[in-house]
Amino acid sequence: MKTLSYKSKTIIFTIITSLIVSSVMAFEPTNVLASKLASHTPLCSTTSCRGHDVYVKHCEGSISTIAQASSPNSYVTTYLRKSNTCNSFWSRAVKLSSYPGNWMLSEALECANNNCIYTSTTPPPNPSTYYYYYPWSGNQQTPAPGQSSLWYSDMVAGGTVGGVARKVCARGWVYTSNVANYVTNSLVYKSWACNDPGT
Amino acid sequence: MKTSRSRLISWMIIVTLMVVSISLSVSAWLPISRGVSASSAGESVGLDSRLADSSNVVKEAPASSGENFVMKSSVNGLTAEVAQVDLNPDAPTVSICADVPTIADWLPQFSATYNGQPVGVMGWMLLDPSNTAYQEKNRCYLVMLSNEQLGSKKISGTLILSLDYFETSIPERLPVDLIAKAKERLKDSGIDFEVQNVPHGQNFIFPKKPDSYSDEDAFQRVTDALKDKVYGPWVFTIDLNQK
Repeated sequence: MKTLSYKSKTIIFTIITSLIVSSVMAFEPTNVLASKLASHTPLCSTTSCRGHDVYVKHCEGSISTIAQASSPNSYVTTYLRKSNTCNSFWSRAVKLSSYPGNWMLSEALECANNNCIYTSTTPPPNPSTYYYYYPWSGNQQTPAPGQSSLWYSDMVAGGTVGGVARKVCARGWVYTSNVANYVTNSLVYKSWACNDPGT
Repeated sequence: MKTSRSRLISWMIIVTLMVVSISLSVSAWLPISRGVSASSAGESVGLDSRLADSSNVVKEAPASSGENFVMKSSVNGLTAEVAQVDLNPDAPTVSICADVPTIADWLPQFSATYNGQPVGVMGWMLLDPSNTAYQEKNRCYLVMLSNEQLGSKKISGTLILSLDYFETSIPERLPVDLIAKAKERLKDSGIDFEVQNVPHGQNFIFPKKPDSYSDEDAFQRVTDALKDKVYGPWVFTIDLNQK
């Protein structure tokens, strides 16, 4: 049998190699490949995540939505989100663009002593004055949010406190402020999403 | 002659490999379609320790509410089950365990009526004492209802709760492939959108949309295009009359 020429061998080798590589890649959809390429080693865990952005700390690898809540008229929908890789939580708020207010707030809160107590209905500013939550991390606020904004807070800690799962809440606000640090319209809407049904 | 035979064999090998490769590619790339048939969802999983574990926080239904409320509903191979009803006047809730379409971050969307009148669904919470729900195909939710209609201690009649559909959550920062997927889904709608990164968020900009569309309309279309949805509904009729 006549031996194939070097050129023929090269062509056949290239084609076969390409086919094998493409077959292997076929089992790994691009979004999985992309996420593998984009994922990094998480840079924090539980308490060391407090006050940090989920993306800056590479906690976006495995995210779960723990709770969802909507305000009256669904003006603001709030999601309690969790990073399973960093064991941390944060808040995500979505403002319905038909709401006329010009401020939006997305907060994640740990309950002081793992006891979530709602103490006041006083609206922002300085809501930490009025709520027994500690520490106050994950407060992200934007003026004049764009139409249909999505907004998320920094993280708070997950994990346990004294063997009990840490209780956390996400809270989203929409309101109107035409004077710095004052709410100037009574149309304040908020929604809470917590990981504890007793909250 | 021998050369021709060698070439023929080579081409046969190449064609065979190409057929195999294409077959593997097609099978591996079949996506979960919108409104997916859930027939591959696997078996229903019954109530388990998740509710038992959470019994310290889910209160018993008051005497005035019905007790024979455990019901199942199956649609396209996905089963959902009402596990517990708590008509606490301050915070009425219903616990539901349901198969989810895949191991992903699916968000259930509920609606309810009480004696024919709409009842507000304030939200839901995952019941996950072991922190493993994100890896499981059957998950339990505590559905929180408005106490405006159900806040009375004299509850009677029928509560209809519907798990209307599941939808996937949208990432905080949209990845390029998801944006491309949504744009493809919107290619016949006349809507084009761009995503503007801002600290801790993203804003949507619409360089092109039909004149009749507000930004709100366009945003709703875009967010729909960003999600996969699996429709039910899984409907439960709960008898609240005293036995």
